[in-house]
Amino acid sequence: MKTVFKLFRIFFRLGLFTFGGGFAMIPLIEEEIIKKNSMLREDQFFDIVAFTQSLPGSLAVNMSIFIGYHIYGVPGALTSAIAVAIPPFSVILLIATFFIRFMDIPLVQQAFRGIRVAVLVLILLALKRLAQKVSWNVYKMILVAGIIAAISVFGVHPGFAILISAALGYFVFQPMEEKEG
Amino acid sequence: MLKLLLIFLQVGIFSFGGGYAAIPFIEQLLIVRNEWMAYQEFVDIIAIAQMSPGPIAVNSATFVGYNLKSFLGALVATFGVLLLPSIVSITLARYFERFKKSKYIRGLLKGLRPAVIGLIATAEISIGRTAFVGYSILPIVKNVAIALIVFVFLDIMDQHPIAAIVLAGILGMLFY
Repeated sequence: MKTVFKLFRIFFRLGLFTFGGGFAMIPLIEEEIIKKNSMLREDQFFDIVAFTQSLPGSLAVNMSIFIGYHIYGVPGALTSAIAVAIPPFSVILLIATFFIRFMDIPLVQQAFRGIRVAVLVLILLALKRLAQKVSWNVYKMILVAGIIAAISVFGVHPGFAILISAALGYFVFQPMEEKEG
Repeated sequence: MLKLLLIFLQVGIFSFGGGYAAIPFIEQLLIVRNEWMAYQEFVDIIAIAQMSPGPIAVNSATFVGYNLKSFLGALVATFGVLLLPSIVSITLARYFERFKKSKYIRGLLKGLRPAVIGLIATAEISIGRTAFVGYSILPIVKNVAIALIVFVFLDIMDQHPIAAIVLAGILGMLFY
């Protein structure tokens, strides 16, 4: 039980001080869980980071679940997931409550005209980082173009695109790249 | 409310690769298919989600839920976006040692990475259209200038995203 409380305290803090999602949490986890409390080894942590990146959902929450599970089974996983999500949930609620009134201020409106452009650049750079992780070939490029067309022109459900692409990766790309070595 | 839950269950289970991967799903399911929100509002929410502590997917779910159906909406959307991925994670954590180096997982990823790129690119095109299309020349020039400055600040000077949003806010106040 003591471990559960400790996990809650640690992950609550991680949730509160992690700005910018999963990757920003990595150095904090190293400090709190590995160095200060020795609840996990560095190599175990790296395996978790590598693996959780391929899972659906928030990287920060998934990492918390894996670490929590490693330390204290299912109760540990649930505790870590809930603890890491409570601070952001509360902070956003607080912001959302005041947001509409705040947006009436002309200077704030002007600021957000600039900020909206910054969001576009942030998404563009996220795309660039993702693209650097892919070993590109002509089929994958066709897949990207096909998805853009399928969704924006034909209104295909984006989840359908995910399912088709997972199947392509499994049945086509993986065997193809294995053959090429 | 049920519809809100169903939408965020989908956002959760399909967003492979964290934060930005949720954006195309929220965009498609909430704006394009249901018109529950305007693009501008959504982009503002992404900016705030990026600047607040915590995962972008969770933050934007909370915010969108709150805007649509107040506190209960925030709770339902956040719960929805976390539920299915958490079940997947807890299940896989149990068999982690066996799954860790599985070539099946790597196979799935080979298809998913380009897919996520295609999806985010689609959302980026739609959002970009709202920032650059349909204005007169002057605001477009101003927006291009802001975009270039922010790009250099982030990509070449390697500064933090939060600092970039603050900078863009100041530029917005100066230019408009």
